Amino acid sequence: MQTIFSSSDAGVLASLVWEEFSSPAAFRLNQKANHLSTQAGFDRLLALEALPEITLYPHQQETVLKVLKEMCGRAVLADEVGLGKTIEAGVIMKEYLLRSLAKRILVLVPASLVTQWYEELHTNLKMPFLIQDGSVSWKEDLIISSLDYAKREPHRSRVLAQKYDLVVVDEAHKLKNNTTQNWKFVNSLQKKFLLLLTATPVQNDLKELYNIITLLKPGQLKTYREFKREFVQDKRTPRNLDKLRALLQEVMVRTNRKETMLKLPKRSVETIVVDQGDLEARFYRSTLDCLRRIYRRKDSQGENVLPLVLLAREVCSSPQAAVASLEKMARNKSLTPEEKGALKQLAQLGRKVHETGKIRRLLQFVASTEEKLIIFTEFRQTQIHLAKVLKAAGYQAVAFHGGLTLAQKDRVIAEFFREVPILISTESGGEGRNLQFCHRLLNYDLPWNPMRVEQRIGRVHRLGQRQNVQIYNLITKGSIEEYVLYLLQEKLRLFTDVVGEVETIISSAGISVEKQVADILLGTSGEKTLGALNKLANEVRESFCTYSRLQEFTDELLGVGSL
Amino acid sequence: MSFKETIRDFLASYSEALDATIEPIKEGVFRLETGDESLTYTFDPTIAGLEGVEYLTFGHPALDRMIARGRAQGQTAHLFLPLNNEQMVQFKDALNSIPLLRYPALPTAVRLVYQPLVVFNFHLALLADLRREEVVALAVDPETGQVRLWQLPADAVSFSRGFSLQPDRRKRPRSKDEYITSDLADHIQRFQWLKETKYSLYRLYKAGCQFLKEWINRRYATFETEQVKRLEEEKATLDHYYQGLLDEEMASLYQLLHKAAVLEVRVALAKREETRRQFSQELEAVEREISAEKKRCQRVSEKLAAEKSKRLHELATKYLPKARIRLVSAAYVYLPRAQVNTVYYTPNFQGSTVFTYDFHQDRWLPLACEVCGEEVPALVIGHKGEHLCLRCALCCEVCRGFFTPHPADECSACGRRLCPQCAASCRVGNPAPCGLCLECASQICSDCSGLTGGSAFPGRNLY
Repeated sequence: MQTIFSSSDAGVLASLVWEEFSSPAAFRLNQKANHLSTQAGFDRLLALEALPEITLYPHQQETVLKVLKEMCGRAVLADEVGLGKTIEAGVIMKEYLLRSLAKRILVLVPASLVTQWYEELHTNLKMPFLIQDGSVSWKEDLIISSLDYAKREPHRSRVLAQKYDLVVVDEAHKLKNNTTQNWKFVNSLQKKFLLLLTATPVQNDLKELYNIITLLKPGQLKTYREFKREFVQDKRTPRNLDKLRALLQEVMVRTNRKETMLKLPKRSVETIVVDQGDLEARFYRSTLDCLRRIYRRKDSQGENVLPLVLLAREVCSSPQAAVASLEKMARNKSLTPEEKGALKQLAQLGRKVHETGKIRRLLQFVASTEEKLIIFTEFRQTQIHLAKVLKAAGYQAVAFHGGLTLAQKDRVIAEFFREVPILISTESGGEGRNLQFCHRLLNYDLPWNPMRVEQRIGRVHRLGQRQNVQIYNLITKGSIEEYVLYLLQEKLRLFTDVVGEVETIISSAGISVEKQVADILLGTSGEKTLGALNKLANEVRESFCTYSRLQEFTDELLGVGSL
Repeated sequence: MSFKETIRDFLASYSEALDATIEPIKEGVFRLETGDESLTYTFDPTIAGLEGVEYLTFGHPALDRMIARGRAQGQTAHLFLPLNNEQMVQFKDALNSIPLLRYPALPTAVRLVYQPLVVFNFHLALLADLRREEVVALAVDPETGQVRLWQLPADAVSFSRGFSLQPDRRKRPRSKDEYITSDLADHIQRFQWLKETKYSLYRLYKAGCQFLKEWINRRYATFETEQVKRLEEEKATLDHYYQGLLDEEMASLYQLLHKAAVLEVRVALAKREETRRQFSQELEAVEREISAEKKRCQRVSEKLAAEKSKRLHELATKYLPKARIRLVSAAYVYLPRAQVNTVYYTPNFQGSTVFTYDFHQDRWLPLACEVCGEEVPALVIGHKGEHLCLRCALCCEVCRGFFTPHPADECSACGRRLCPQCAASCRVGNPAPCGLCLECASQICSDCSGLTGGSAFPGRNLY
């Protein structure tokens, strides 16, 4: 065996020669400290001892140990959605760090999940990762970056020059094609350990599976020609299944929900419809009419309509959220003088609306219960207004948003856990937070993106929640929110059914739901709106079904649940 | 010791060495205070998190910090192991069981001596896809150079310093001389300063390193074999994969070469000039294609080779085990021992010898047999006063004394085992003993019978 000696011995020997002796107590301390620093053994997960607040489910612990002991840190974590692939990967990372088997870790995730991963790794797993947003050197030891960002020059060459101990890639089905930049980039990274996370390692073609496995362990499935000859009957039908399974099980871990016997508590949803006051209703309708006019003009001219969509969502949330945007938009050069004038007037009108139907109903609702409640809103202005109103009414509430530092976020969550009954949260910044100690949430406004709905509910409806989760949706009568609710609840049943990683499902189907909802709500009216929403809902449901079939196929391929 | 107990024990040492205080705050909660640090901790995860109470376990930043601080302390020491009452009582008992077999032995004088040892604590990190670490403590005997695995007892106390009478020729190692090396000779070569300063320590350190290297090879031989096997398997998979890829890439070239060969034959066999020209043109075109294809294959091959080399390097980094050794602390240690002068009485003579008792091991130190060199827990005294083990000593059946066996040490008349002192001459009386016991010596042995022409003793070897 290669034995490596170090020059640092000279320091100790010199001290001995120079009789720089320490006390016996210090010498004993040195011995014990050195002994303690060598405590290891993969039979016990040090990460779990270091993180007492984290409890792994048996399937998660099994996965972690298998990856560490049998797969030597190169594995595809292919658990079914919602079974905790992120926490498994996090514990593996922590374990490698604690054992000094890894020092430099690169986590590559889709841009939309960067914050979520950061929260999870930073807050729950206590690992000081940095988000690569351009301000961080690639030489840092622990980095989370979006794959798209890292693979582009000038970052690409900088990343490829680094040597990583561990690389983690989330949503690894994006590496299914070996001719893409994604695949080539990850393949070129210098890495000792590699974790690929995906619930759908194969989507349309067994070649995708081949490409992912080859990225992980070249040669595991031989060359593609050999793989095809031996294991592929047609694109979606494998042959020599037992042999293929055996090879896949050497590098891939998958658990499905049935196997784990895990059951989440039920979700129940209640819609609270509120009436608008006269002034509020006038402001709402006038603003929406104005926005529709501008939207149709801009859309037909191929101009950017995203600010209009945002404004429409703000109007649905609260006049306070809309006023600032109205004023800002009134200065926009792409608008006609008439449009600018109208927007200015609307901003003035919005300033006069101090009380809304939603606020009145919210105060009644809060008065009727003493249990903890999370109020979700998409907009910071609405959040500020709600906090002010609740405080004025004598209720204690804390606000959680993306602008807080990590320490502030921790404090807010701790206060909510201990004493404060109400948490007002915006979407941003809290994706990885566990709020299972609360089981009631109120959607003050509705996101137009199904992914956001699942994220909100997912904060409380997750492993560890012991009570049934109660969801309240606050909807203004006669507003476009009724359409949004129709789509999300009536058609997609998102509030009551556990769909899982909605974003993964929808994005893999290539549907841009938020944009389509905006098109429908701002571009159509009446029956047409309903018809278009139904069509969109069908598309989304189809994607859910396809995803479900994919899961079954992956299970079959890996022999999961077949025993 | 459980993990919690290990941490608790460490914290006790930490507070002792660094003047920190640990006090219980309430059931299961403690506070550690040093001059610049305060930590409220518990070993019970159910209490942790409340009122700033931290769950202290492996991986906790505060514990990591304390471990790092502990490792920076006390790298060298000058220690001796004191005697306590219990050890003295044990020693008195041991005096009744001096490890001398068969003969009565009486201790006549006791002298307390301190046996010097140099203790080296090496941190050993075994690096492969898994990491194993341990601290290996070695004790090297300066007198014999013998190295053994040894744990320093917990009750060592500080020895007064500065008693060395050696001239001060101490040298410092050169500070810029930083390296890591896998060659022990090279490593030792760099300790010239130590060799010139304190040769004895240099010699002992070298012996320690040598011992450790061999010990690692013995202890982790199976692990290394397993790792190498895994590496070979992974390499074989990679070889097959890249060879397959290359073959697939080369397939078109092979086809072209085959086509060219066929065309060459056709050109050679063509009966008509026109046909030959046509085939020749086709051949030229194919050769151009071959040339381009060769270049492409060359590029692909180089690319694949580079990629394979990268993967192989990754595999080697991951699987090939390496043992990284670092000296983390060292000490001069003096062990108390009693040298007991003992008088013994054999049937033939009275003698004395010195036995050494180790207080800390509560046992007599093994003595070496003067014949075979083996260390044994108990000895017998030979007829010349030599120390013998029971394997090398034979008991004389005449005088019951012990002796070292020799082919001639048997009575040639009656066949009884015989020590040299009991061997006698026959009545003819050669100057050298005839190999007879005293009882048989009244006869004439076979060797002497020829000289006298008389009748020999009617024994086995007598006339």
